[in-house]
Amino acid sequence: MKGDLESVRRVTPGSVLALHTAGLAALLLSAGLGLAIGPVEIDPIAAWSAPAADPAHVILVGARLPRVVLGALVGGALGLAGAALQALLSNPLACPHVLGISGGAALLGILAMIFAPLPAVAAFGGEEGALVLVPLAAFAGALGTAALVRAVASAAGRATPHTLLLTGVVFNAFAAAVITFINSIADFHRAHGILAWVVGSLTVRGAAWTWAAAATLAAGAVLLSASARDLNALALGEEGAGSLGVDVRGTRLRIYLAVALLVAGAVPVSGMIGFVGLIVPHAVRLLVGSDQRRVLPASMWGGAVFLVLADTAARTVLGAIELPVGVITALCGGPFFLFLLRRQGRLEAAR
Amino acid sequence: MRLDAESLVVRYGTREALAGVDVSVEPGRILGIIGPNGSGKSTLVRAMAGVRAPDAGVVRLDGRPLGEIGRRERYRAIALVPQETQVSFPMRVSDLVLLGRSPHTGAFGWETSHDLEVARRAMERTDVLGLGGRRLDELSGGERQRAVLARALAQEPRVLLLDEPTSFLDLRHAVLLLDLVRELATAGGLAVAVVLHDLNLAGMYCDRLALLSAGRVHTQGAPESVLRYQDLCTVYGTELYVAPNDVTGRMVVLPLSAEHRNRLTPGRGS
Repeated sequence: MKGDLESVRRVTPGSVLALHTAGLAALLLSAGLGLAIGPVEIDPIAAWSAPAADPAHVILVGARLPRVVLGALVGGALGLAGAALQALLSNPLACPHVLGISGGAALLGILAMIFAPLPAVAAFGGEEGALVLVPLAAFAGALGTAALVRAVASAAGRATPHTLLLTGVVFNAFAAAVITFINSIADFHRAHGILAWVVGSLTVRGAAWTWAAAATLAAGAVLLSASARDLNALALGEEGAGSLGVDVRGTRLRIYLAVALLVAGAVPVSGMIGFVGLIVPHAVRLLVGSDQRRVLPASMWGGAVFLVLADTAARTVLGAIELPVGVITALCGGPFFLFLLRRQGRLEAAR
Repeated sequence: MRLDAESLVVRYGTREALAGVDVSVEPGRILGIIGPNGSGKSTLVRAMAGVRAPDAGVVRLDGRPLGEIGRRERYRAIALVPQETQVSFPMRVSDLVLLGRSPHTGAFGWETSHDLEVARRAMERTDVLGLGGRRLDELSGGERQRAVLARALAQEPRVLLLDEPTSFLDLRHAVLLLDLVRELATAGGLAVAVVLHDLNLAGMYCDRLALLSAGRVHTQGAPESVLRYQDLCTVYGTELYVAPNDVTGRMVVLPLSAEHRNRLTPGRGS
């Protein structure tokens, strides 16, 4: 019996490093797939070394590579945000989408996008001003929604995870309706692409936007990795974690801040892609167990892999017609959500 | 270490869950907290553990107010076993027990071999060592409660607070658990406070009892001075049978059905 505790997978810095290595390897594999497959058949290796003007080279480096990079960044951010929210609320049904955080970010992001070209705002920073304005608005929207949903949910008493989720779902539907409304009244030129935000679609806006998504992902990841152990304790509920010396309020604030950062980076280049943050942490837990020091990094890599693959499918399943990637994630995620709900019901019934 | 609650007041909205409670827990001794539903038992242990700050009054750990002791330091000394431990994700027993090391390792720490050794001893102590790799939701009620106790012991506390640890246990598992708690107090010198619904278990295991009624201490002291017919009938609001039993010499308290209540003349029992 002595070996029993030692035989259980222990989380050490080395094992986390190994996990990052495996995650990176999986991402490189799926990125290779995403680069090789597309509506136009090219030989990726030949295209890479082809001259810059070669159409195959343009497709590979100019079109597919930015998409794959963006997919990895957005997927990583959403996977990580989902894992963090599930741990914080000790609810396996939580993710930025279900909690309305993506919706809030998209709503303010869209407004910023529309107002950025207006003379008064444009004088402030021109078209490039949007680069600062949109993520900033999305960040404010994300954080504001998190606070609003919490406040509304607790108005009916204590903010239980269930009322939080319900409020979030309602808010998300509301945000989608408002965005659709804005789409209808905004003039055609500016409205172009807005509707894609509602379903969620990877939109390459330029290198600077991609860098912004990378920066927020990095910041969110650092912030969350510092909270991983506290998140482990939160599996025992807020009071349980408190009785282990965890500063519950501080941790909660840090998590929401990190999630808002992650979402603010992802939403301006992808809109409201659902279900990534919901599905990925579950798949990941099956592989690496429930310790957040593993679950968080694995969810980041898993989200990146999942979205790169989903986007590859979105670009190819209908031939020349491109699907919004949000359609693919929702098609995978909808049934999965029902499965989770059923399993959760059984877990609770078994208590 | 000793833990003293002084004039504790806790309000939920306008309702006073505790309306000025004084109790003390001393090393090597078990304080039993009893009383009807809603009398403030759970609130009292939660306030004593420091997870619910009192609205008035103070809890002192060896004389120092809890509020002045840092979180980590506080929970290296005090461990709370809550009424129910639910986890929403499949968590392994070993992971749960290692969580008990949190106040020692801190937010960034990695468990050292010392932490593992402490966790292992705690699991040995509560007889869950063989369950380390099992998931909490696969355990029976008794196994789960022992695993939660192992988590508390992994904190290496000097004060152990338990909130109805036996409510989901059958008779055998209930006495096994309380036997262990008794041993932790007597041999390990832990100061223990335990909320118990079962007055017979409370009378048998505790050195002192505090009988709560509507947020106040109705009576407290040695079990034989608290488990008295008149007090219990008044506080619980029903007719009871109270008498010493032949085996332990402690009091037996039995509730009575309507049929028997009607047959009894008041004053029967102690």
